[in-house]
Amino acid sequence: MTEPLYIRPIIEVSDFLPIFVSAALILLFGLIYASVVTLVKMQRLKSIYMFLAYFFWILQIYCTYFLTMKIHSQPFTIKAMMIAMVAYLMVPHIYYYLITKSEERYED
Amino acid sequence: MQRQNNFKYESQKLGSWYFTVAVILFGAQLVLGLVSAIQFIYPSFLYDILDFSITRMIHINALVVWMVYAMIGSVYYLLPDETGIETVGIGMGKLLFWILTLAVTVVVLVYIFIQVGPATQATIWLITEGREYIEAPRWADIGIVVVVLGFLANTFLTALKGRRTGIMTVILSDMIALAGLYLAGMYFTDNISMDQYWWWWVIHLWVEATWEVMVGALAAYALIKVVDAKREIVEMWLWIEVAMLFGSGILGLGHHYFWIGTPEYWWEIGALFSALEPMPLIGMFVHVLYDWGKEKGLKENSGVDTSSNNTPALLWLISNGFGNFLGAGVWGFFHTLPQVNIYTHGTQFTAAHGHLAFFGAYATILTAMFYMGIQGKYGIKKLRATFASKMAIFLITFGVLGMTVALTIAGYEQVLIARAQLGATWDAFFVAQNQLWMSQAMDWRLIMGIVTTVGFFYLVKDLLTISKSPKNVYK
Repeated sequence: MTEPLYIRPIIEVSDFLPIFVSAALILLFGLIYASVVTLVKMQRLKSIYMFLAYFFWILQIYCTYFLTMKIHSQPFTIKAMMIAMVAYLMVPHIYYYLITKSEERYED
Repeated sequence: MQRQNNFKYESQKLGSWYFTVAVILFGAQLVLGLVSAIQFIYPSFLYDILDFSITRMIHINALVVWMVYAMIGSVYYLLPDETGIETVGIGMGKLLFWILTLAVTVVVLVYIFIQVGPATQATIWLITEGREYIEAPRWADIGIVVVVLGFLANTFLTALKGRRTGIMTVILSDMIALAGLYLAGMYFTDNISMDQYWWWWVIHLWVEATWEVMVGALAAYALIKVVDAKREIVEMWLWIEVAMLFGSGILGLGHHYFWIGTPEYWWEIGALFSALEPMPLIGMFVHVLYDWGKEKGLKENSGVDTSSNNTPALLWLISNGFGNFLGAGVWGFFHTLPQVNIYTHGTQFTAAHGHLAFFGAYATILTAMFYMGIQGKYGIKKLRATFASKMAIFLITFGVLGMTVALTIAGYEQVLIARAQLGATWDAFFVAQNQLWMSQAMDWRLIMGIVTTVGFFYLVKDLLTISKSPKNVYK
């Protein structure tokens, strides 16, 4: 008898909840990171709170790493995700650089 | 209070016609959604009269069509504002509105009274193509193309003649893609893999690319009007969002190609670009937060009134920031990676994501546009939220969130039992369907659907009466 072909990764039943929760937390921590940076740039929060932003960014990296482990990602994908996380660290700063330059250009 | 039509342009009047039909179809969507939800719990309800397959089809088609109506209405509404002139060929625009509305009515009547036909070309041409979400028969397909071509001509000729803004440029380019992609859905083949391949061009590239860009452009327009945001800044944000939305959304198409018979390289493409898709949604959320906060701060510093010009629209706009991020972002990312998607595909997770994403990303911003239409129609300088405005936003949001949570629980149960433990067999599906968690989740989905519908009635009442309330209107 031919062996059945399993093309799907086998995920433990007990791992599904952590997978869904960590997937949600990646985005939530990412949103909090971007929001705190926004509020600091808008001077609604003191610049000391940037540490809080970076703390959430680190949590986001941890959740991303945790998720990739749980879903048995390929080593290449894990590296790509980590590089994406580093890029995400810079995205809000690039945004506000552009915003500042635009405001300087268009301010009445 | 004496109410009169204050529209400066016929195009805005035409936009308000589209808004009216959109609200009616929104109501039809909810009613058919409730019937479907009841049928899930009591399968004999309307059995052989209006089956689940038909009610679900009309529920989803009504959703798509009301949103298309509201988007076309929004473009006609903002077109003279942006270009500074009346829409070119407005007479043709009005004629096309009536043709489209008549066609939609006939299609819906055929869906309800004829329902299905034999497996022949006649059914495809006259009753339904039977392709999920775009079931319209072939004659209606062709009619839609003609109407949309007329709409494109109206918009392009107006934009070329009048003032050109960044928002208009984005809308014009987006509409070419939006209209062009519909043609991919008209390609018919007996090969189901090929059929699905092209069908997703319409479904995915509409919802996760061109519609999102349209929403970004409408949000930009609304921010300028509602919180007096500076156009140059808003348009700069818009260009970044467009780049990010198309950059991630176009190849994000790959997450629909995991299991339809396409080559395996779509796994990596789909995974990578799907993971990037939430990025612009975070950007859009931050954008609304930034512009709203900045303009409020500037007004506070100048000692002027900081209130918004249209509070109900602003509330819906803010809920768009949250809803788009949660529904399209978080609930999408839950199950977008192929390793997880193989377990979640086709479960109630998809329905959970669909409910919150369509509400959060589109229904919110389009409802904001309805309020802007009311403000324009009655020449209201400042529009304040009434009790009904607040009840509408609270009940609809709470109801949709409730349905999403219920469907997520049902989906989670299906993933564990039907997919992971019992191996996705025919029997496994029914074992999962008969679990207590599933049946209770379906009960809660119906209850929350009723809450949403009550919220909708408040919304209709508010749209009809808000302009009569002297307390909430400053002319």
